[in-house]
Amino acid sequence: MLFKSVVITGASQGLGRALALAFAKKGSHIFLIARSAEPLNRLIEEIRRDGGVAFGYAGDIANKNDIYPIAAQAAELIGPVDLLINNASTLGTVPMPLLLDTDCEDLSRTLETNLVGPFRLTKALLGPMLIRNKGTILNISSDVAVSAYPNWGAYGTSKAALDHLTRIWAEEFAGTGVRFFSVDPGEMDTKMHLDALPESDRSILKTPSQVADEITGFLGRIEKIRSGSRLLASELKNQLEEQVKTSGVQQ
Amino acid sequence: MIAARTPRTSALSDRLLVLNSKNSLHSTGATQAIHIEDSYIGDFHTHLRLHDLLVVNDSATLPASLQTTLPSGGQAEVRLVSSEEDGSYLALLFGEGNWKTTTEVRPLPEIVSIGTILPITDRLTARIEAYERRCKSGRLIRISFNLEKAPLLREIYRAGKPIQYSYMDQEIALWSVQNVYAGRPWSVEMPSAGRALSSAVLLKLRQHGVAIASLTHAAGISSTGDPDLDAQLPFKERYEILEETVRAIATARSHGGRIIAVGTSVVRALESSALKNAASPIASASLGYSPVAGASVDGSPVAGVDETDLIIEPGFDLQIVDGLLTGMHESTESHFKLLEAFAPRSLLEAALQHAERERYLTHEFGDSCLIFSNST
Repeated sequence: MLFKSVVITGASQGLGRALALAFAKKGSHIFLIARSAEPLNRLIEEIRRDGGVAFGYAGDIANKNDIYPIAAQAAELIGPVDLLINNASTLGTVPMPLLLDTDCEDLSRTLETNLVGPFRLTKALLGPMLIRNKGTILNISSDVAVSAYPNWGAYGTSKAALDHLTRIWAEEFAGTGVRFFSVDPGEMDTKMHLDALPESDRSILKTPSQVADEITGFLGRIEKIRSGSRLLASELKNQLEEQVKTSGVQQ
Repeated sequence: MIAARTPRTSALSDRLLVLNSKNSLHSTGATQAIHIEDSYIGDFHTHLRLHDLLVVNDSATLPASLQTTLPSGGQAEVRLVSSEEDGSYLALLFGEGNWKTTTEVRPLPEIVSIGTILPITDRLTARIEAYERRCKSGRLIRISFNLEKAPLLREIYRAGKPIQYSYMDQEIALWSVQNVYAGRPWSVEMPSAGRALSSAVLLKLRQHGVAIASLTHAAGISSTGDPDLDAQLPFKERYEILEETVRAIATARSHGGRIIAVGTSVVRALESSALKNAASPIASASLGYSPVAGASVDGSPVAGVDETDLIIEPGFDLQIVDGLLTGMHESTESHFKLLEAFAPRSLLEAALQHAERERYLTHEFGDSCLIFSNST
């Protein structure tokens, strides 16, 4: 199996939850992080009932004090981490205000969760990957990282910065076996989507488990993808073929 | 020497003292050429060469200092020492005082009876199982927790703080005692030799053709506050050597590379594993590959989990390790004895005087020293 041990943030709902179930089904040992203990514990019980191996940590990646407890407990309980999925994120204030109406503190809080949190957790888990010369970091992004939409200032800025962080990590670790990706999952039927766009037609949205399948599917062939790439979940297959065709080089 | 009193973050400018000694035979008799060189940790790679192997201790540091309330209502510190095979823990008890109080002057708490339950968190308690006989003062106890595995770890992380050093300017946070490659939290104090190894240093080593491998060694307590107990340090410590690390050592040696240990815990683990392996030939036969031939190759470590109470002293015949990256320490420390397995006392003393003169920083967050053994 490619990913024996997987750490997922924001795991109690939406895409995080779907990814947890998908990796558990594939036999990965998983370590899940979410802010509220109750849904997290329910998910862990559900996975264990189905014979999976799962542990959890109720905490906030925006809190620096939670990072090393997470890293150490994950290493002890599921072994050296093969894959970190930085999935947790916040929209900030909803309904989302225009930038001029956004409190400075609100922007800071959004960046703490969506940018600094993933940075910290990556920092804590990357060192062992460097020694083993093996490991993957997957940052969950969004189309608002690329396109500038009104009202998406705090969230969009945080995701654009996360994409760039992914690219810079990849450059710094070029030539090693440690690889970095950001994935835009596309529009999904999640609580976050409902919070952001309450009037959208839910029937045309993908479910989190569909997206989770797309992501686990592409991770199975990850050796063929250039580290630092930004990928669209819905076009993973095409992008993969494109990259292999144009570069011919496997990095 | 001067203590480094804050955790420094820009480690590349930290200093590195490089020591070499060569035995050579002249008509006038055996002489020892010693060589002391001032360098920087950012230039660590220039002292190593293609096919050398760096072995690090990837253990993370547990927040091993827990607060409790005694039956009398007094406060005490339970300082975890090691986890035992039967699930119990060895721990030290300290009475009144805080992190600024030197361990040596911390009083003992009142003696509480065996079976006493010490509350740690709302979910975690520790039961006093025994007072260890080897410690007359009653400071060293054996405790068992009411929780195990994941819930125990969670509560220790909720309640614990890293063991503190009274010479520091501020209390040290958990992130200041983790090496960049820290994984499983087996150590109760930081395996501090690795602190100098930033990712920039590690990447440069790789680019330079130096291989890197790891083992996990539960680095123990550095000071107990009890002179009798301190004389027994280091206590028995648990370690695990991975199959791939055993292979990396064989590969490095087959190419003439040297094995460089990061920290004395790595020396202890590798050398005691090699000693055990030499004592039981079945173990080496079951490796599935034979140790590489060559005059310099004596023993090989075996993969697996084990415990060591090996004390490395002057005259110890190093089987595996050719060089050691370690922190700067004073000559009075037991650490110095281990260094004498690498270099003669005259060189170590000259190096210390040099370090003193050149104002190197000492202790856990201080500068580093790279020592190559005589034979390399």
